[in-house]
Amino acid sequence: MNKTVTVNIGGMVFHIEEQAYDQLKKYLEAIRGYFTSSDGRDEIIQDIESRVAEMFTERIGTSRQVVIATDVEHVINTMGRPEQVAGTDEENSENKSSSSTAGSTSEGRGYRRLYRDPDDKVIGGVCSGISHYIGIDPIWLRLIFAIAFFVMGTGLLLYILLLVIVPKAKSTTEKLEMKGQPINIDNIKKTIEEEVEDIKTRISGKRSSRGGSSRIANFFEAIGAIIVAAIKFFVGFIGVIIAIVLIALLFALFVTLLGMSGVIGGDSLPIFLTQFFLESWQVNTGMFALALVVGIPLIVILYRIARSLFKLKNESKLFNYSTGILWIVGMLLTIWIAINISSQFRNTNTDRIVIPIVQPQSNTLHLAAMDETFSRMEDYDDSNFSWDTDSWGINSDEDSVSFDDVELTVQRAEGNEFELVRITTSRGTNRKNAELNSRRIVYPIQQNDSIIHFAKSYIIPKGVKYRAQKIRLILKVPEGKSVFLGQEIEDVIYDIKNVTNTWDNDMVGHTWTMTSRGLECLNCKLDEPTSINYNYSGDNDENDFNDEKVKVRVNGKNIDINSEDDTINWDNKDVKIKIDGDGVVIDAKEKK
Amino acid sequence: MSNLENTQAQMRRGVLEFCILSIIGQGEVYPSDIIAKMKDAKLMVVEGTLYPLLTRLKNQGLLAYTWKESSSGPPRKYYTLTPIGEQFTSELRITWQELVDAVNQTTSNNPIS
Repeated sequence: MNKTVTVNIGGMVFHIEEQAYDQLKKYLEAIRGYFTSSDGRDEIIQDIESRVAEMFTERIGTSRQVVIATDVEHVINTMGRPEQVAGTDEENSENKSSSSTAGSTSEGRGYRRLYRDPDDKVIGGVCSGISHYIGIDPIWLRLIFAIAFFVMGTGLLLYILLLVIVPKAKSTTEKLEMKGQPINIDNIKKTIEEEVEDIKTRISGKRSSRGGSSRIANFFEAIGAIIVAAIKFFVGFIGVIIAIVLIALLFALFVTLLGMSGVIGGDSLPIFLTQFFLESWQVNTGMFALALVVGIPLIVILYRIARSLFKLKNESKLFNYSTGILWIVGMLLTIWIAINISSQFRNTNTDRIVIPIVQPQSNTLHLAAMDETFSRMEDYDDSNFSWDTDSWGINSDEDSVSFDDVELTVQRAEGNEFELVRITTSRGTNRKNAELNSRRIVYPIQQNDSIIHFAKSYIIPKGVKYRAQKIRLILKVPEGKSVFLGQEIEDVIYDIKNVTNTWDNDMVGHTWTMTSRGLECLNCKLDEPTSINYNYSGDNDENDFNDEKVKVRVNGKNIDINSEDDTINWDNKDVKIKIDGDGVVIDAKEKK
Repeated sequence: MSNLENTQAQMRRGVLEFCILSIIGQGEVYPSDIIAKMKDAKLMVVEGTLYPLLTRLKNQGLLAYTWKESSSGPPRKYYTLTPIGEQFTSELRITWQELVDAVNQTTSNNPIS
């Protein structure tokens, strides 16, 4: 009674006795060892295997089912010994014979690679692999790793790392490379024989003596298997989660697209973008392009995950190509849309209009900001634009968008009259278009007696697109006359030059008179004429200044200034000190 | 391997390629057919030698093969000469003829006239 092995030879199934199998395997490996892949090794072996299969079929006939050792011997005798098989090929045989004689000395221990040794292992064969590589006994390496295990677990980490990185020596060739032995027929034969012996002893219940600590190996193998299973489960679990997230994302993208195209009601895109910035075709095309650019990678990742989860191996070329092409199309469309949009900002137009104002009875013109009510505008946080989301599709009269890109400054007038100039700029595909874009925005200015109300924002009515419109207002004040800056105008004024270099937000609430030097505040009562003595008299004196909110302390080493408020702001006749988020300003005013 | 065997093997080896190409040149054949003919002619002792040779000739572009189903066993490769192979064979034939003449001439007992 003999054990049999089922083998596939040349595409046919044979039951072969174990002993005969070992013999055949050795034989084929030996032939294989004579050729290199450039000789067409795989094809030769395949041809030989086909022929072997044929011979087996002939010999078995119908009378029996199992290939036995004599069949293999017959095959070997018919085919010839490995060296005979290779012998025909003259170049080949010469190469081999030279390398097998010279190789054993010159190659010697030259060519070797790092593998894990599966035949001599405690855990994963890492140590024995390294020992083959550097040529010392594995016991020392094992000892080092064991000691390193107790040094913050570095040994364990390093071992796991090596276990993952270093490949296992599987084939005979790899095992020879690992040991640094020349790969020739004798060595291959020897190794295979050793292996077969090893397998035999294992099968017959006797443990491989080379394994040494095989119980430990078994234990670690079991643990390793559990860890690998756990990791696989974990990876699979993460894969499922990612897949769920991706499906949700795809769904969201799909819904968004439907929303854009109006299939489902809703305002997923800011109305500003759809109504006041882009053309409708740009929105549609852009959405489509974005869906491709974002959606395709999602689909691909999903597909990959599904494939690895369900262990599908064959890759669909059609899928790869079509997703690739669709993604590139999406990319190109996106770029095209971007270029198209930017082209609508290519040209600039500037309109300069003098707005007629009634000269005030008194010499002071009051500047105030207009109530927001006139336009139902609302500032949307700090962003440049605001939109009324409730109004989409309900009342088109309310479809307007406002921008606060409005700046008012004050200059000296040439003549004796107040003068107001409005400069509107806009961009467009060409000059004409830009001009149109600048004319069609709405910016109201109202005058009631001596009060001029400025809107904080301009309005883009429905049908007009935002093309970076800007409004700059210049109020020209004749010498000797004044303006009063109302509190709310703070949002509108920008960088008004004045004699005292007062900042815009400090200018409001005061009357400023145009003098020969420029704008000057005549009624600015500085809160308290705080005079601070900065003279540091040296030595150990400490000069302290205390005011309700501000403490200044000067001593030998440094100057401490503390304030309860966020800012420190003194302004008196001689000195201005201002410390806030913008920095520190210490300014000694010129004595006039 | 004795010197005699070695020399004999080398002589056979030299004509092996030419013989195989000639056999294939007579029509589409399957390796077993080639082996049978070669064995009859005592040019080849073991079958195994043929396969590496066929693969090499095929890789040199001299041979082409097609797969054909066989009634017993796996599909078989049937070999034919490519045009290059035919050219190659006919040139070898000339060389062979020259060689035969040369060998006959040098090994005959006729004294040099």
